[in-house]
Amino acid sequence: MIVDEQTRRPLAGLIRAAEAPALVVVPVAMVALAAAGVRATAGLTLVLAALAVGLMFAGFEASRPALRQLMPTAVLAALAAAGRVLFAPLPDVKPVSAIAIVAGAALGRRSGFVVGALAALLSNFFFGQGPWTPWQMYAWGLVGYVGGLLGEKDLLSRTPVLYGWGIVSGLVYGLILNGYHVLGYVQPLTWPAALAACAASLPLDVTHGAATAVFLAAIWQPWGRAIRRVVAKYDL
Amino acid sequence: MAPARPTPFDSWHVAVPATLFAGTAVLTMLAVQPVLVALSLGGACAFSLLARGVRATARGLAWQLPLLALVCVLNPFFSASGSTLLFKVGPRSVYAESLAYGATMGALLVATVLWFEGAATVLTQDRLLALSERRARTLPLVASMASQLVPQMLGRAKTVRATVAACTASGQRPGLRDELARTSTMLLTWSLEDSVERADAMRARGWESGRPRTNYRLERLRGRDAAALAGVAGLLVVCAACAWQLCASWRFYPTMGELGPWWAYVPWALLMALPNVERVRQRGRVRQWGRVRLSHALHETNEPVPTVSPVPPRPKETSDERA
Repeated sequence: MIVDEQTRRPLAGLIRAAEAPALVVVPVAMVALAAAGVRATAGLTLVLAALAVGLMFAGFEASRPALRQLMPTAVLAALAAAGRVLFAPLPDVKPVSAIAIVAGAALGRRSGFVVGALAALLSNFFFGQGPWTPWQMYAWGLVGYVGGLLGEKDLLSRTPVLYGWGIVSGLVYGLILNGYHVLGYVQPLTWPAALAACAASLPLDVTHGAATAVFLAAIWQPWGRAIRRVVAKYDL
Repeated sequence: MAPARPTPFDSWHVAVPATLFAGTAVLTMLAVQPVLVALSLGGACAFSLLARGVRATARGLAWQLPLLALVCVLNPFFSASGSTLLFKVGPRSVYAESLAYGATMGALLVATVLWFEGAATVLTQDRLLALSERRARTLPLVASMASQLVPQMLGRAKTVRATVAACTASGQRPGLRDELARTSTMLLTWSLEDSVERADAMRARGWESGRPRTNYRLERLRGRDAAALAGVAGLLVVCAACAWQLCASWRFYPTMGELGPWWAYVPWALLMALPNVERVRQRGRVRQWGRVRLSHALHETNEPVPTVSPVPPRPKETSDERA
């Protein structure tokens, strides 16, 4: 396992302390602003999601990992983006969440976030950028970040937790993207309308979660071995 | 060496187009008002036609316009509300206000996508790298490295699969899961080992030597760039204030509100026209570049350099023609 270099500067410590609250504040703001009936909820939450992604990136930058330790992050981000492009013909069958979880477990939670977020950004150069890009970056980044947290507590070595997070991650991703859709494109916003939109996407979200679990089952062991081998071979 | 082909906004510091496009996209996403959205969509379409060409714009609109129609149609079915009943589809009532909201949001979505695509033609990778702080090296490196690796991996995935398929001597072909695991693991190992060797090569060439990283092109903030940046920022603030006023007086439900005074749209229209004006101005420079390039090419083949004029010389008039 490669662990992020400890940050020494006070600003880096501040950013690190703000990471988890920044990630939590986005869904909280989505619910609170929508409940309060704020008209610019869609725009404000989009700005918040973009700020959360920016803060996580700033934390990664401030952690100043060594060049050799940066490379696996770049490779896994590229692999996740390429995997999304290769599996494009199958709707909601994407390896991005699984690779972000593996990256979080192997390289740390910040790298997990960066892999998920960059995979969304880079693959959208093939599928099209739009207002959904910051949301996808946030959602896949969150999947990788939580994967990293679970990995740090050694919970992912338990099969039910690994596959459980794989399935739940699809639903979490779907919930965030549904939130973006409902807040932005359903007006007037009512509970039945929001539930109808979520119900419409539930089969796709379940497919995404199940596909993530299947990808994890396929790559968890061999990728873990491959990463450990490279770590040992090059003394990372 | 022939000069590089000019790209839109390349005569300005990268901060100018970055601020302009980021501000335009953000304001477009925040201002949910039909006229503002229509102006933004018009500006974005025009810029796409000018900067990306008719074919690329048409290819994009082939999926963007159905998306607009889908968003427009879906809203009345998720949330039927309004005061002007148009028709009924089964138990669902479709109101004009509901359709107008869907159409506005669909147009907003397409306008944002078009601005993103326009920005991608202006803010090329090397310019974005120059935009990031010179001391910030981690994230720009990972982002640029990963973006270079994606097409490489797509190619390598084909190579790995073809190689595995060609290995018939090792027995029967593995199942789908085994093939997926084997192909992806080979790709991962190959790329990881490559990347570590690349990191060593970069270190050997001075990376992490303590100096700020170098750039492919020098971007210096000159006086005219600072003035343009201040102008763009000022225009964005005025647009935000006008859009705030216009959005405050507008509503979709239960009946559509007031459109507001015409002059409040002027700064917004200016903002949406600004990238197009710069693109038209830059086209003149492209023509000039073409002439310079031609003269370079002829120079390299040791041929005499003809004087290239944008307008062919007029033939001398004969006395008959004058008559």
